[in-house]
Amino acid sequence: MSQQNASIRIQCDLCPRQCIIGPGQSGDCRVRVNLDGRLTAVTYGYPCAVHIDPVEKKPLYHFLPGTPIFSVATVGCNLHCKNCQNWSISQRNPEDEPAYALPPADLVRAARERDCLSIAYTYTEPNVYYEYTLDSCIAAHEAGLRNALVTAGYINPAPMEKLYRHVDAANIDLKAFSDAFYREVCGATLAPVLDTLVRAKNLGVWVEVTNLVIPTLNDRDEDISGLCHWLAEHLGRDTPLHFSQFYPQYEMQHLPETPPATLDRAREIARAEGLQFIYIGNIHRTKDAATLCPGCGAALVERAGFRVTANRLASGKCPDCGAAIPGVWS
Amino acid sequence: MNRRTFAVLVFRSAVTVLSIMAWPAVTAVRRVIEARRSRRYPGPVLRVDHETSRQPGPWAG
Repeated sequence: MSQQNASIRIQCDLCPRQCIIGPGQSGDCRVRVNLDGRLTAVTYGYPCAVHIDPVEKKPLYHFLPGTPIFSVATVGCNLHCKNCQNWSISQRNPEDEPAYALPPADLVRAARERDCLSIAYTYTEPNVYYEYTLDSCIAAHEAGLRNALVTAGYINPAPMEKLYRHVDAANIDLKAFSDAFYREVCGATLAPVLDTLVRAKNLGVWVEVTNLVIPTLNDRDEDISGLCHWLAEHLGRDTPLHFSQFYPQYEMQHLPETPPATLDRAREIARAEGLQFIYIGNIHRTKDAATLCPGCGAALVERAGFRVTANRLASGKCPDCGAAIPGVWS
Repeated sequence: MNRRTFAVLVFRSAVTVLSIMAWPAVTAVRRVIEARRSRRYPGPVLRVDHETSRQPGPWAG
């Protein structure tokens, strides 16, 4: 380590924040650190959460339904949403949270040993532990496993495209269709997220979108219709959209949970905008979790909570009318 | 202004000036502490618990 290297500041070009990081300091995400003049992702190979989830929990409803997905996360996030449900790990310093030693090869081996078909990089923000995600995705593909990201999509185009070439599915959070919301609630901006959505779709990644409906902040009709209109126009009407119910969390304890009627209204607006697959989540209502055929209306995949109770799809098609249902079904 | 008030004012001013002069040293110490904390990672590293890892995570997503 030279004196010169020890004193230089480094700019991280992974996400739109473009943090300039001083010696020994971390970027805004807490996990990308200037160590001895080198930008180091200090959580590489050290996830703080390792679990097997149902794939429906991500939520991914059109991706290998009913299968377990090996889910990992390290601490850190490049957004700081006041409503974060996972703030206890996303807004935490790496040195303060116990972690597991699980390098990419071991991660893939663990997923296979537990009969998982896919690996999810989830819970916090897979973009900030980018190198770990990328290497694990490559190792998983070599082992015949699929990869799924659950992400806020706040990343620069070049690293995004490099990573997403090894990704099969992504649930991308579109938190609101408002730059002011992103700035005030998440400490981020809207445009890069929209850019990620379009690029992911163009790269052939299976994309589902989640929108957490927060009372008084993003639940106006025009907020929801704007978001749905953009999705239908830029990602296609067959893009699954999950409206999630908000619960008071973290720094937003003062707001009430989303009334079910608001979620119903959101679904009607999305339907009016032409979206074909609209789901309501974070709330236990069986009828809003079923995948319906856009051709004949038949229930194709039925769910109760995170459990698939019936799957009538035949090679990705409706058995009644033969309509092809978009998704990754096998 | 009596002598005691004057002495207090002089003392406060001196403390303020010295605090400002000492600030670069304070930031240097903070930087060293920050660097040591960063290097300390991964901290407490656990072995993957097979039973725990077979359960769904308590977090969203």
